[in-house]
Amino acid sequence: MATVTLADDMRPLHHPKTFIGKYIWSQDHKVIAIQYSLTAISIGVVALVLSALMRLQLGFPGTFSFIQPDHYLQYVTMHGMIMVVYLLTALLLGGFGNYLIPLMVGARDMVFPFVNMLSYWVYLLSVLVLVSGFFVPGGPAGSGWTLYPPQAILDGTPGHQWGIITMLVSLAIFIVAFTMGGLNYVTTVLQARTKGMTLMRMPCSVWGIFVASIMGLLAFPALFVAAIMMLLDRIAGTSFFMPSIVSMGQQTGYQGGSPILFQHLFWFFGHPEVYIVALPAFGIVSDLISVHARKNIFGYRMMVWAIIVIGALSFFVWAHHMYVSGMNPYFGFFFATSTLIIAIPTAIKVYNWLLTLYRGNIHLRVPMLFAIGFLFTFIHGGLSGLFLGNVSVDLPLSDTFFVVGHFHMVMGVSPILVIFGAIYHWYPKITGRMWNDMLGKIHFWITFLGVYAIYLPMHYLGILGVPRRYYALGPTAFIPPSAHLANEGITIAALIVFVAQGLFFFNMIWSFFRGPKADPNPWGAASLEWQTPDTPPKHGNWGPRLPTVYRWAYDYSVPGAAQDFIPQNVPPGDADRHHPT
Amino acid sequence: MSLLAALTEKPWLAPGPAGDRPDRSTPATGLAVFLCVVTMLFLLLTMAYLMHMSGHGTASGETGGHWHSMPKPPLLWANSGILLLSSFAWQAARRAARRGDAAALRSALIVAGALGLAFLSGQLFVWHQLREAGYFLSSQPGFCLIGLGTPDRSFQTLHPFLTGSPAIAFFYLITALHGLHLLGGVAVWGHATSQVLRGGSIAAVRQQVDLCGLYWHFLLLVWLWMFGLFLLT
Repeated sequence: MATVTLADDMRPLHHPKTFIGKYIWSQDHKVIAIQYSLTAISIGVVALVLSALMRLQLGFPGTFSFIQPDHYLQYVTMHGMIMVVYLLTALLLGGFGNYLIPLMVGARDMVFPFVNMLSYWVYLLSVLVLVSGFFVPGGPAGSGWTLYPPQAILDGTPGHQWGIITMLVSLAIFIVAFTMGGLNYVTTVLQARTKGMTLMRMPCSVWGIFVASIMGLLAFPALFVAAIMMLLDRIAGTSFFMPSIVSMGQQTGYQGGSPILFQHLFWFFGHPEVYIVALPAFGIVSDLISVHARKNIFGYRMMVWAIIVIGALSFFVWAHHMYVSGMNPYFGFFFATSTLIIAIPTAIKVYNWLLTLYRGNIHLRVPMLFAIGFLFTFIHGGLSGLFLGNVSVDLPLSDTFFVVGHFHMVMGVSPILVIFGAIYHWYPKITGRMWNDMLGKIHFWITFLGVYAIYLPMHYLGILGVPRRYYALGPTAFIPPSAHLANEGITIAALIVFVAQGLFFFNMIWSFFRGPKADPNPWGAASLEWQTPDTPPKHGNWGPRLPTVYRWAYDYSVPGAAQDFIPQNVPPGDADRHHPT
Repeated sequence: MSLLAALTEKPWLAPGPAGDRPDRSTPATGLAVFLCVVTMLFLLLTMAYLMHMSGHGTASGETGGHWHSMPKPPLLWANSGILLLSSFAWQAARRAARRGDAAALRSALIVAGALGLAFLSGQLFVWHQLREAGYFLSSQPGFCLIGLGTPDRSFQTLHPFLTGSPAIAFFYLITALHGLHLLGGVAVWGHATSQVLRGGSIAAVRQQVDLCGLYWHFLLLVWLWMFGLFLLT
């Protein structure tokens, strides 16, 4: 390995020569980002297949004999955990965080490249341990993705033999991996910004990822503690979470543990986790909207402050997931209030996105379509959240499909739409090639309309009282035949959306080999990652000299400027006059 | 520039050159971030411990009924003293490294490391003593931990104390996690000490010694905090 030191950056940069050094044991943040992304997307496809299987069962109960009740619960559990932790968290922070932070703040790499590499390989290990759950006796965990004790480790719950163990071990490993990655993301933003890149000149994407990383570092320890303690309950017979309990007619040896303690620990992680996924999406969508509307983001400072405030508040709302746990009504009042307060900064963001679009020069390219699609799904998911945030409304709805519709809209579909938009947006920079526009647009419309066909009816099912997590409804008096019809319709829509994702994968893979060469800055974006000397950026990103930043990332349509955007590294000169805002 | 000033900057005004790159050391920042994570970890364990102790979540009327005070082997006091002394040695090493005093650095590092290892062995010995006294983590040889096939229903007889007293389980868990964090410090210590003993320049290890010493002090505080928790019961 040759080591060179560049004049403007005193830290040594490793230039590996072999294929393995470049692409396997790579310490380059871009390669690690792609490794993270491909792994996360691969395991995400597994979770997608599981959701299709669940929909087959719900839409056409009894038709598919290979889906047994146990299997159904295991699909629910694995689908939820994979999507939330192993896909969304890993892709948004490990994937986009790794790729974008150094490029957007003008660094050559993450500050601890070796730890960064280790983070990916430990993450891969956690994924493999999780997947091993499918092959152990008894199958994967089937206790619901929240893994509530005592049922998660008692007889009668599918996967209680080995599946729950692989799940808990995998989570603990994932958290170690995330901590190594998160240290890098936070420290890089704090330390490795290039000259002139003040905090308030960073694009919103970096802000979202930065705050989400801090939240992850503070929230994941709760899941770590919970996982380790439940693991001990399962394999060593401790009673951290296990009360005295009779299981299958026999007294177990457990006594004195508190299942509610697990719920507190889990949701102390679980609620910030929602925003760990949402904040990077908020940041990225701000940039997409601004670039493709050729307008500076409306209220940049408010956007940044809102990200920070949401991040802080999200640590004080966790028990709104526990209204049905029998908690003290005063606690419920407190958490309902804090939940509604968090809607204020969130609404600020939504208004600012809309005001950015207002009288913008909107280019309805594929990334912009996904960004606007996000606005719809996020507003809808957010509004149903106002219902569930109130104790008295939540109690009857808590165990119904209303909740499924709500959280899929707000933290399933919304971040995924942003991720699609972001992949289309940055693909030319990452690969140096352009994707097929028509395929992208078809993919968007099927996905966008499809998710409405899937999740909107779920709200109605929920209000009717259709319970979630049930393998089959059977002849239940209060559920009308129309509910079964709706379930069939949802399943058909889900299968269409499922198949349509093939368009995306085909487009990405085909374009990688056959797509036309991409312009280095096809969207005319002002932020730093589009100003690299090479496309895709080479190891070290910036050639011999680091860029110097003279302005914020949103100088679009500046009156008097030669182009309708001014890159961040263009010094103030005669070409542009003072920004009118 | 203060944080408030940094966050209230109006970036759309006055494009032009701005502040230089941060001059704080990157590893120090990384360590600070990591210490926040570790603080959170032990804070949450503290909360879990206290909630357990007060009988949170158990049926009303049996508040704290399952919580039995754990024995406090006198060795724990000695271990705490050893960890405190090793922190003093680390402080001496940090000062020696800053002064550039190679001989003092070498001896301080050796003392600090030896005391650190003594603490860890002492903790292991406490575990041994507890086991001798019947406070097992897992008892009979040949006991299938996983309980495959025919799930074992006899935890009660196998783990009479572990299941009976959450305090002991917490003790094992917390000392194990604390010990693992300390082992991380020992690894850095080994790296720095081997460089010093081979006669490497002090400048090369100054930062390592400085930050590892800080980390050590932090873990001393964590230990004192946790020890206080154990004494509470």
